[in-house]
Amino acid sequence: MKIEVIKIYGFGKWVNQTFTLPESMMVFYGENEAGKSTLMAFISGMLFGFASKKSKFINTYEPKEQAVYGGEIQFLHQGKSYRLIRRHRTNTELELIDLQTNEAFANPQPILDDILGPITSETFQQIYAINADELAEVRSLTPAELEQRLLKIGAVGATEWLSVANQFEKEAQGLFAANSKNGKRPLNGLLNEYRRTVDNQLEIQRQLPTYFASLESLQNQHVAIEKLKTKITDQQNSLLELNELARLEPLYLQMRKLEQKQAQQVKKINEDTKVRFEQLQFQKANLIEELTRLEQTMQADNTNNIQNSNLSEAVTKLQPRLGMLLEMAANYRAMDQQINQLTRQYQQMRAEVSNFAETTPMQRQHPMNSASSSDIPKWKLGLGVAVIAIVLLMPINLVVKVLLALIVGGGVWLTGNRNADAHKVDQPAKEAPTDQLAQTQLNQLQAQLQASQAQLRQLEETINAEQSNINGFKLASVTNTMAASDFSMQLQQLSQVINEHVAEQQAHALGKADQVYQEQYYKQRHQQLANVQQEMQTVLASIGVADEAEFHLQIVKQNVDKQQNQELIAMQKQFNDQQITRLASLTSPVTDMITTTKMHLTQNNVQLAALEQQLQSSQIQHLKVVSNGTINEIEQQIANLQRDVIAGLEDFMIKQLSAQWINEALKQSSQQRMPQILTLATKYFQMLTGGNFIAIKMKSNMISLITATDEQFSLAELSKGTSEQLYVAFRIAFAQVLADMIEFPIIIDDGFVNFDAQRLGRMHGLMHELSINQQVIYFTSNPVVLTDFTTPQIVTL
Amino acid sequence: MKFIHTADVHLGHPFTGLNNVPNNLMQQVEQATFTSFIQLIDFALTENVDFIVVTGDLFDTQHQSVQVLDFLVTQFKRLEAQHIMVYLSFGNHDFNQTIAGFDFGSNVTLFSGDVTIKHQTTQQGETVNIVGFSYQEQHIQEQVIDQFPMKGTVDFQIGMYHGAVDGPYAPFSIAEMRAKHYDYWALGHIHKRQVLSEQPFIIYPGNLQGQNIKEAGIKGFYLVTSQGDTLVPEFIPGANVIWETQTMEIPTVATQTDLLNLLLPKLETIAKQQPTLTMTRIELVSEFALPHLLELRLLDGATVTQLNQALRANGITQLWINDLVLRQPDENQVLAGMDRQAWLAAAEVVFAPENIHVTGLKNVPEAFVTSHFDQPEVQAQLQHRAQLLLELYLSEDFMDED
Repeated sequence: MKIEVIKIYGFGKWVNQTFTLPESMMVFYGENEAGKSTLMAFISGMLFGFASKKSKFINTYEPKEQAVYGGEIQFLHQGKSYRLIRRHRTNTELELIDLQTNEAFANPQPILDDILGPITSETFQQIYAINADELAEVRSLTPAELEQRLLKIGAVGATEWLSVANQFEKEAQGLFAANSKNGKRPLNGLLNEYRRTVDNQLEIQRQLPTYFASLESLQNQHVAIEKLKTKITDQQNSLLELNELARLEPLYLQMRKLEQKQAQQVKKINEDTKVRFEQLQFQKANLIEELTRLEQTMQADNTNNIQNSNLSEAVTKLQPRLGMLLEMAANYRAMDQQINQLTRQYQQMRAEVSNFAETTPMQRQHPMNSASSSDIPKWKLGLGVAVIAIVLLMPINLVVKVLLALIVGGGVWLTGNRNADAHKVDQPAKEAPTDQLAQTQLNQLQAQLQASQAQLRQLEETINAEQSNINGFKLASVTNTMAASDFSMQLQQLSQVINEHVAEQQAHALGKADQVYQEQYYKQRHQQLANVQQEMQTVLASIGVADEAEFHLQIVKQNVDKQQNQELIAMQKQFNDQQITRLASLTSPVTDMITTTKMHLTQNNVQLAALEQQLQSSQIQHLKVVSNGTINEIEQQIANLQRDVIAGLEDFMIKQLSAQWINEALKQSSQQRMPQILTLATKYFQMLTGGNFIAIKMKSNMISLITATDEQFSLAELSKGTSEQLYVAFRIAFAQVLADMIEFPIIIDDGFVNFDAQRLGRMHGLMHELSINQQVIYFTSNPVVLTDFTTPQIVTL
Repeated sequence: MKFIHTADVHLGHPFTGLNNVPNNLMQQVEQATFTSFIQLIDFALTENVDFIVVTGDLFDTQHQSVQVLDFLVTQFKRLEAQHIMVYLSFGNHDFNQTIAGFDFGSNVTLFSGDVTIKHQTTQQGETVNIVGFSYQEQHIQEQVIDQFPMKGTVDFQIGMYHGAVDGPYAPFSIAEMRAKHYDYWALGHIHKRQVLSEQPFIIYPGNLQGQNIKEAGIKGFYLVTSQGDTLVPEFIPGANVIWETQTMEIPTVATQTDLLNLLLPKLETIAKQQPTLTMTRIELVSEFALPHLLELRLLDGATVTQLNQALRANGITQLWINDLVLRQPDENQVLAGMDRQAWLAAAEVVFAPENIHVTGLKNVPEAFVTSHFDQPEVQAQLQHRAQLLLELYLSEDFMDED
């Protein structure tokens, strides 16, 4: 492309201005502020479009005077002339006219795009525009940076790209310190938070074994408690049972004893045997009793006979004399009575006598005697005695005699008494006249009395002899006495004995026949007894018992056994089988076991309480574990953080990778073009240094420079000016290389402020040479150009 | 007879790929797997089903926790009170020897590693065999289906099978299942709901609660009821949070404001139709390429944030835009300058996995990071966004609208 005419309608300071560019080498010369930069911006704006937005930092070159924004450019491209017209900054009107046909293209943009090819405003600036700012920047670079820049100069827009890459890299590093483990950048912070959260999650997940352990522990505790409860229940039951057993134990022991006794009992007398034996015993007892009675009876008969011999003798001797003796006794009594009567009569009479002759006290002393004596007349007494004596002397039975005597005596006595009473009533009347008479009577009476008394003594002697005789028989039923007064009684007794004896004698005579019979009966019974005893012996032998005593003992034993057996049965009824088994198996006393069980029970209850308490605290602990932590929250947090980390990393990556991409692309394109660039750059550098340097060497991204004298310099060893020359050589070489692809004018804004006149002259020479193949537009304020270039080549602004 | 068939509950599994979800929603999201399971239990109690079969992956071993186990025990106890049995088998995510002996409750039957028959008589007196097995390790290469017995002399026989037709997860074929003459096959493992066969029904119930955008759509479980001598499944929606992709075609837009104004009314209309909280991915389809800045903002999440803020501001809580993807014609020429070849060659080097690793991941060894950046589409996306950034930098758009 060769720009031929520039026509400005209005752009910055330029209004309605036209420049023609006849030469391939064109110099725009002007002082500062003459409008060089504005013109450069106009060319770029015309080709690629005006800046679309106003901004502090963007100069949109609004026309200073009232004019249409925009203008025209006429250029030659691949042998064809075009006129490009742009009007207005915004909503720009674009017009492209083919100057061969003078026709405007209906849709000019694609045609223009085609002409411009891949070149944009930016690449145009980067490739074809060399300006003062750029060179100033190069000067500020370190050698290393310059080297980097040179190496990438083969890439389109390398400088800008590099700065963009730097910016991205900075931004990326602001997000994340990728090589640091502890960076404080946002993404590092996020990663740390993520890792903390994961740790937290792991921490909570570590609770899981704790949870399982806790669950298992709870389970075990439940089991233990259940076991213990069962045990306690068992023990309580056991205790109940033991208490029952304790109650039963004495009974049981008793029962065992009984059982043992029962077990020891070997001989057995059966009921029939027993009944039979008892019958026999009964028979035997009856027989013995009967025999004994018989024996006694028989014996008693014998002894009676013996005793009776004594008695018989007495009876034999006394019986015939009994009547006489009775008479004698009756006489004695009668005589005694007579004497007594006489005594009384005497005393009465003596008393009567004394009354008259001071013997009253005597009367008073013996009133009875005197009364009685006086009651019965002496004749009557005499009569009585005589009767009695007659009776007594009568040869009749003694008893009859006695009776008769008594009757007689009694009759006499009754008569006397009646007389006495009558006598008494008459007494006072009689006393006085009989005093003398009384003394006579008294004497008579006294004599009478004395005679009677003598008679009585005689009788007493007889009686005593008889008594002695009777006593000599020593009869049991007869009182042994020597008192005559008792003779009567003695005789009566004797009489009874004799009567009894006689009766007995008579009975005995009857029983004699009986005795014979009895003896036979006795013998019979005796035989029976022997039989019974014989049978008893047989029975005893059959049951192995020695004798009856033993049999009885055995029976007693058996009875006791039987009784005990009944007791045993009664006892056994109090137990059930289980209790029996249980009691039988006991090795220690129940009370001991109760004590032990109670102790265990207490211990277990204590243990249970402890376990239950432990369970409770375990449950609380377990609940804590369960409610502790918010695992789901944390898991979700982690998921969210993962997403955030990835988003952050992506953002970081995009920036970082973009920077890398730029660098890599620059490197690649540079490396692609570098050989060509290097060849041209060497040529230009040689020109610019006046042949001082003859070669540029690149080895593993290191640039070294070789002088004509074959000296080698590194970039750091070059002067600032030489570095600038090298840079310009590279830049121009690059533009030349790209000219193969598209031919654009090289636009150079004067920036060679550090070039001395010689270097500047060489630079101008280079421009001349370049302009042979490519239009060169050179903006400068250096008046040297006025001498270095021809007039047609110069436009003075 | 009535029973519930569910699988792949993945209790406690977090939602992945959530983008800046606010706290109040986050709580619902965190609890979603639990809430959905509680809803299932509620349903079981209301319907008074005979039993529940859970064919594997009730929870993730990876996410197993005290809370999860405790939660399960609590929920199963609720069922126990109503004499509802639970048949539980472990899948490839919850195989775990440490909890093989865990006591889930007296009403819970846990299958062992061997194919086992469990018998139950229903409330109506129907006899049922439930046959199943548990994973003992993450993979099962052999066809466990071969070990399943033929249907026994029962009214109904149900197979519980966690696996897939292909792959190392107890492979099986539908023909093999049919050959067993079972009345219902309660499958598990595949998270997408699928009815593989209708005679008998062989069903993947899908997972109970979607956990990321890949598990989009209505999730739930099956209520299976006996009708005569056949078992008829009915799908019951059960998820507490729904994942969904909304595709929207947009005309050419120039500015961010235009884009927002275009999208918001559409989103509000969609929001009103949601029965429950819906995590949404918006897929924008544009006939023309969006301006770079708009595209970049779509890609870096700024637009999503703005949309969510606008929805919140309008009182919409049922809809959460989680992310936004753009489908537009490829327009890839700006960097194709003179150095096109160099740029492409450089991209080969720069966006290579090794370089990505060296650049940012040397000190980020976390698996989720490496596995993410190992994905070719992620690498491509990185390059795409980098290019957008460079182009944006070069273009005047970059200065626009700031």
